[in-house]
Amino acid sequence: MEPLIHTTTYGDILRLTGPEWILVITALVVLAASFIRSTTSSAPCSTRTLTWISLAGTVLAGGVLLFNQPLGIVKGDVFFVSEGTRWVKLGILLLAALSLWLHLGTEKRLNHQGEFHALLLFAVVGMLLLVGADHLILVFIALELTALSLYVLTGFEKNKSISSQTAYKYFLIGSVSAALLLYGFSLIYGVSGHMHLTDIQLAIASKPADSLLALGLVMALAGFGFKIAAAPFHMWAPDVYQTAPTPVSSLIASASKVAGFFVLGRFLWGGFAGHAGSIQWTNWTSGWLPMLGLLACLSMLIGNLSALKQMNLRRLLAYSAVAHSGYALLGITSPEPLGPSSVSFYMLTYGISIVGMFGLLQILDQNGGAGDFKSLEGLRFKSGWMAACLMILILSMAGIPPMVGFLAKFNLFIAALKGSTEPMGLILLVVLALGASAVSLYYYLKILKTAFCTDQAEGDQSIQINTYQFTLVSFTVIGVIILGLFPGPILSRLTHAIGI
Amino acid sequence: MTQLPWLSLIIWIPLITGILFLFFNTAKSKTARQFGMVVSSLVSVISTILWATATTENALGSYAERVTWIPTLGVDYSLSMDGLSGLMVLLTGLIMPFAYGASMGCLKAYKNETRYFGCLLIIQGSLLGVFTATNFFLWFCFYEISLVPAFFLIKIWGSAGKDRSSIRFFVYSMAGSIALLLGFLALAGATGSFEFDEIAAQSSAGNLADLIGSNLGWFDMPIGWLCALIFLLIFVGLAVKVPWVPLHGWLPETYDHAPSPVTMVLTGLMSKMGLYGLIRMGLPMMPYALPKLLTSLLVLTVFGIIYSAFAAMGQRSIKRMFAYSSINHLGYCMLGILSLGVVTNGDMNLEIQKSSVLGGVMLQMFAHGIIASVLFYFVNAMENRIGRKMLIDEHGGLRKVAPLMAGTMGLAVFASIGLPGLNGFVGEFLIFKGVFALVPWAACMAVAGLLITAVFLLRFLQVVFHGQVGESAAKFKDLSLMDTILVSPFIVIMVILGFFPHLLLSGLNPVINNIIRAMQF
Repeated sequence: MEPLIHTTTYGDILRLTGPEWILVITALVVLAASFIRSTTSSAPCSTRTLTWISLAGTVLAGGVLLFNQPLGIVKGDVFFVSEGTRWVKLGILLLAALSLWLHLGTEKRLNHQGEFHALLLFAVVGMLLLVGADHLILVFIALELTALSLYVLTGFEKNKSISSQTAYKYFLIGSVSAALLLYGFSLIYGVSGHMHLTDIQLAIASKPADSLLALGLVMALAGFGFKIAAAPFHMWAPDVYQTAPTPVSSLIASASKVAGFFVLGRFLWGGFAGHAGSIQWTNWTSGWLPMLGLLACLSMLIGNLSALKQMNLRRLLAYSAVAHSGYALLGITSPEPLGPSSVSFYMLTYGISIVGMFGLLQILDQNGGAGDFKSLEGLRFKSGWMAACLMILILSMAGIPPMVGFLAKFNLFIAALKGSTEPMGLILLVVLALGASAVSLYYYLKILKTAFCTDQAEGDQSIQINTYQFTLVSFTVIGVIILGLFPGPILSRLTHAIGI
Repeated sequence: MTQLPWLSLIIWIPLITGILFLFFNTAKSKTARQFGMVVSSLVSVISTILWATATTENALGSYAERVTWIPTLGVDYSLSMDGLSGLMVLLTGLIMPFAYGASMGCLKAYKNETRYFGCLLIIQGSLLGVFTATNFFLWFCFYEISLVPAFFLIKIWGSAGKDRSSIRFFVYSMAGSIALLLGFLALAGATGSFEFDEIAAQSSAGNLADLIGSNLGWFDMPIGWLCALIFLLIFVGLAVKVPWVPLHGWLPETYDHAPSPVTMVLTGLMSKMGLYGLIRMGLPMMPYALPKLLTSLLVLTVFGIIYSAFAAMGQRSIKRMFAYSSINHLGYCMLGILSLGVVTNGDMNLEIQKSSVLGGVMLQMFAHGIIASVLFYFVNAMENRIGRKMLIDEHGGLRKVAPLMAGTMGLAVFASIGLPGLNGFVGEFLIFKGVFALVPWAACMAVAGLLITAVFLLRFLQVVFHGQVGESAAKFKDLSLMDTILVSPFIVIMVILGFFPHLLLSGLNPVINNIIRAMQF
């Protein structure tokens, strides 16, 4: 391993934040290209060209991260790069690249493509910064960079009133949560006198529980809860999933969640490990663990129960995503390395399957479906390939072996049972999670039932699938199976890396 | 020379072939079907050879394989075959090609046959995986995989009412799996291992209760009750699959609505996964848990035996009658397994009785697998001849038009009743012999089930095969050459095992001794 850099010069900072810079430059290039094209020629710049440029930037950033990334800490402990953040960032870039690939398959043309791609890339930069942030201000800036880009992207089809309405809703809830987060941070700073997580840890370790600190933590958790769509801060999710352009929904559902969960774990364990409290049944002490447990319970219950009644597939996925956030919160209750690694693995693999699902939904939309259960009817006859892919992705999300969803969930529960401060302290939550998974089977199977068990209707046309969509969905399906069968290399690498 | 990974081969060859079958659905289905039959039979032949050549003295089992799989969880891909696994591998080897052959004749009405056979092959592979995996994680993966093709077999190719029953089947099984998963996670959390052997070793060393007490400590629950709870979760999860009476709600209609060859697999093999799991995972927990639960569980089991026998008597549909009869026969296995939890205080005589019960349970599993699948084969043959499901009182006097069928099916029915000299007798005899000594009242009451079984099965023979030849039965064809070829080996097995149960028992003795020794407390 390369020696750690403790930066003293701007050059070092540039080297540490290489991938982020590459993405920023790509975003500027994309903007410039589209601008130059629009001034020199009447036809706007081809969407695909812009997407290819963005993809190239993402891949380059991934390559730098993989092969030429020094580890280290920016002077003043604002930002750090460790083995663990490297792997999580790679996962985020992979999911971002998949979302971009999804955009390649889009046939609907939106205006202002340059801005679209640039914003998407800025959102990804925000996620990458978030993963490496060690300082409250940077956490906030990175979160807002992501969020502001995503608000605009959500409302990108501004001619549709529903789209603007959703974006407005998302923005309102989001800005309130940002305000809460910021207020929470300021209280934490007021109590501890520090902005760095490690310093906060040291400063408050000797202090007894403080009501101001508790208030700050509650506010901060509410703000984070919004980012990861944990109930009761999930109200925006169904609308956004339903109306945002598909690549944007898929980015929000996958990569932004990975970053959100990673930073939440880092924030809580890195800054406030001493004030965790306990949710042991007989030994309940206050702290953030009980709050986390409550969020997890609510998310699992509200997510799964609300999903039961949804008729629109995207809304259903949104509520199931809330439930998945609930499961993942269980993993956060467990300290390093087991907790963060299992949560990251879970969110990464969940991200892969949800991107695949959005790919399938995009195909359905382009073939005239309304995105509800009806558009799935007779899928088995219209396209056997799609039906098979749908089955594998859904079974993975439902947690049925040998797909990776099962293994990731299993790993998560083991982490929650083993890793928490008291052994088996979380068994009640795990029981609830298993029960909630049983409930979730109902709506997952309903999807499969509609796809497989409806009769062939007269005059059904076969489904048109373009190469991009085909490769994207096949890739995710193969990924879900391969990771399920051979999780060893990735899982142990991730655990090892986060453990350092 | 290193040995070939035989167990992996017999698991993955059918699994991969089956998955390929799903993809090449449009291929010429006849060739594909026959190719599938060849694969299935080949795997069966290998399974049989593996069973025959396994060194049964070795308690760890033969053909062991171990590859590191998920190091962070401490889970290996490890397979091995001891006496019990061997018996189940043999049973799978016998029944899968049988069900496959039964399907070949009757699927003319369906378009997408290749997928149907693909599903059967996947089930074969995953069953072999279930019966040879040595740790819970791998076991559970195969256990769940087997569920998906079974669901689609019922859902797509079943008869009217299939939608409801396939969903029921799936939901019941999954709910069971979740209980099982939870119970086993608790057990693994306490012992720190997923390996069956490791947990059994902790149990026989008498450490399990301490480990659970020190590592779980949930709710400040008394350790005895915590053990009982964990056992109950595992028991319930597996008993759904067997099924055990209060949890049997899915079975009658699932067996009824599934295509008959699939019912052969469901009853002959998939119900055995539950019993197999109970012997592997439930028994090590038993000494710590059962004294508290024994009486109530036994009461339910005895009730189930009698109830299902009466329920079978009340059916008009032949398929449902055999479905209930299946619950009844596996009820004896559950009775046997539960009676092993009786506290013996080191009484040597009772220990010997326990060995006999466990041997009986294993023989009964094997015998029921053979007999039930043969009976459902005949049900399938009857359905094919009249083109729909058959009711008991629909035709009389089939013996005159189909003497061969009447003879062979009669023999199978007598084996099911448990007539001495046929294989159904030995297992039931051993179980009852032991249970009489261990829990006299349960045995006395359960014996009534035997009697009722005899009544309804004999009535079945009488109404269907004897009496006046009905008009509609005049054109009923006797067994074809194909039928005869498929059925005759099983008839031979029934007779041979009836006289020489030792052929199976000798291979089982080391396992039985191991388990019983581990359960002394």
